[in-house]
Amino acid sequence: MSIARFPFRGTKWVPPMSSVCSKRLSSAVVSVSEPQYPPIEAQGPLAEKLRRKEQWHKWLKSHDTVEEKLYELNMPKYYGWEAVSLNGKTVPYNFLPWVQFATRTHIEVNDDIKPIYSDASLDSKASELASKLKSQVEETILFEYHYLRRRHELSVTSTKTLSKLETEDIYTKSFVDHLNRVLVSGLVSEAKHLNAITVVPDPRVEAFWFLGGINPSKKKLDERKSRTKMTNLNVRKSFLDPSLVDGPVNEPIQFCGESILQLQSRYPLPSAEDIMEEDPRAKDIPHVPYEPKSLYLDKKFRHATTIPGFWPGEPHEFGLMSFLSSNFLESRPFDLEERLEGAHSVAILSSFSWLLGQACYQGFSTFHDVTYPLLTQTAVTNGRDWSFYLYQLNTTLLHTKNSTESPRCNLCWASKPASLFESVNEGRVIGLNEDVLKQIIKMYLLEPRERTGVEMKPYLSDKPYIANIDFEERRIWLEGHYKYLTSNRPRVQEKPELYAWEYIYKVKFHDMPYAKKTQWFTTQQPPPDARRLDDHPKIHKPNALRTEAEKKLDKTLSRFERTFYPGTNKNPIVGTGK
Amino acid sequence: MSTRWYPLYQRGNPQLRVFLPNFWMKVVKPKEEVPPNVVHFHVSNEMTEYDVRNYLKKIYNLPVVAAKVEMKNGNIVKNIKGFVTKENDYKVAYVTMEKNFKFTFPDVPLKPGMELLKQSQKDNEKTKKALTEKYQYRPGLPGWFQQ
Repeated sequence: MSIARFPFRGTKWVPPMSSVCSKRLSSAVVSVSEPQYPPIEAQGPLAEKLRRKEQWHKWLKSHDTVEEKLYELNMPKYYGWEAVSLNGKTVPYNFLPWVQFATRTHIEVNDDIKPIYSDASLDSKASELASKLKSQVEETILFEYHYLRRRHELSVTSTKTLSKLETEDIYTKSFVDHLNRVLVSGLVSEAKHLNAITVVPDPRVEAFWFLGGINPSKKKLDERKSRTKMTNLNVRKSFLDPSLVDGPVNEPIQFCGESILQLQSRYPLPSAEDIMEEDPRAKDIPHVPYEPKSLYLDKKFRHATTIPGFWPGEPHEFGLMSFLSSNFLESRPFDLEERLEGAHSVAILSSFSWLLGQACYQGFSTFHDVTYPLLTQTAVTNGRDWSFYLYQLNTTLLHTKNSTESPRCNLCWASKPASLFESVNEGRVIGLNEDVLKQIIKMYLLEPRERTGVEMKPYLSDKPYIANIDFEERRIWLEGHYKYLTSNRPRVQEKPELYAWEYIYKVKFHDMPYAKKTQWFTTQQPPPDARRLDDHPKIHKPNALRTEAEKKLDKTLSRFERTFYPGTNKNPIVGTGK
Repeated sequence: MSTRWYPLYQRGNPQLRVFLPNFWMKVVKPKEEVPPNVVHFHVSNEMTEYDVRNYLKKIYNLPVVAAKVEMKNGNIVKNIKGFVTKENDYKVAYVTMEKNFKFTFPDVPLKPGMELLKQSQKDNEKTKKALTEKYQYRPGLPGWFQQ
């Protein structure tokens, strides 16, 4: 079942129902002083290709709810996108330029973060509170690193022994958790907004976007070249103009983060600066056009998921801050500068992905840019050493030309790492650094405010979530399917595979002309990657389950379950009588 | 190259002293565009990632940062008798150098006479294509005569 929703997807000419000509001459006399022409559209194969894509983007934009928009990203691929798989702990050598390119981020590294935090009243308040809470923080450090024996967590069983990294992660996570509790309870009398925050340990932060401006791989080039020669009518749809063979590709990117803790609030943080439509800093962002595999990045087939640590409909839907572990960076066999750049790249990727998720829940997407900036604060720590980041999301557009030519860019202000304390010796904390504590407190003191005069959800309807849909059958169907898709379980029936012997004897040399031609590569059917998500047989609906209104319908309609893919079948069947 | 197998070290044996190892590395042109600090090699099949790294570092003093090796299947071809055979497998090493290192594959000139050979191969193909097009539609002729 392939739904022909767009004119480019195989629409057929339908003969008119009656033989009477439907054209009529207007009786009114129309006089126009200036002729009105339709806009002139660019011609050529590339322009046509981009227009087809734009049609899909418009269709995505027209959906009413957040979940439908996120689901729509998966519609072109039944078996999922072959996306560059990033997690918070994969940091190859010289990763920062690629991360800057992949997120279109300008980074400024200083000893301290300048914007927002340099406010005088905030500074004095933070230093006052830091001296007040100093003893409590010292107690926390002692408790976590000296008194707590962790016999249960660190117990070595016969089956598994903890590595050094795992042990360090346990310490870091536990300390950050405890420190957060101490600071929130200590600061809540001074900062009232901490009364209404959500603290999420081990959040599920995932984001998906398209990155343009990448060189096509050898495999892709070969595929494109073969598509230029296609003359068979069955596969005529995938014909490609020879001028487009060498053009850059869009690479789908899937990030799955591993932050320790995140704090959410009802309102967003105030912006550090307004969005500049022509940002001069955007030109300094490096362009890394190489194929991701040549940069030691893996690709995996999976459905696109964008989740900022909570499901749509959560009232506390804006990020305040998140904490990342930096233990794994110390095991990399590189010099100090490279290690520092590794921390920057981890922070940028994590901050961008979290903010992209939040933006998607406001109705924006990787195809539709944000209309107001979103902010987050990130701390990368191993418990002792801390580096701080302030990230402002100005653009989510990274596909096609946007990755290199977009006038907007995202901004990241980074601080150099500093130690909160030097060591713990004989039941005493040695060298507690009050400046670092002050910076942590400043992150908590920064007050999220309601954005007045800004339409927060311009691309969503009045009922922005699936839970708000009145039509019960559609609501249940969409909710179930959305959650199932985001779980990324493998398909019951596996993806058809081209085995090596089949490639040698059936495809390469045609040595088995007598063999049954059933597979897609022998019958010139479209390959499994071209299968759409809604391209599946209909599910039978037993007679007992059909409603009275449905029974009156034609049997081709009534005997199958209805599907409610994004933007389709919005209304229930009303009995019209037959 | 040594005529001996690379001797396997057993505990208790004297220290290995190999003067002419079986190892070799050949710089190849990458099939796709790669960063300037990445170099691709074809290496002998016995070499591991550590061997590649040590070979370049110890002998040529190159600033190697990371090395990755991959075994590739040999090309599958049909010989003149119609048998399908496989050519030898080979190992590829992808080596990343330090950031400021730059390497571009040189333009290797063709061997004398190769240009002529390539031109004649092209001409042959052209003639073959023209002939097949000419004699494509021959009604009444048995299929045995068809190419």
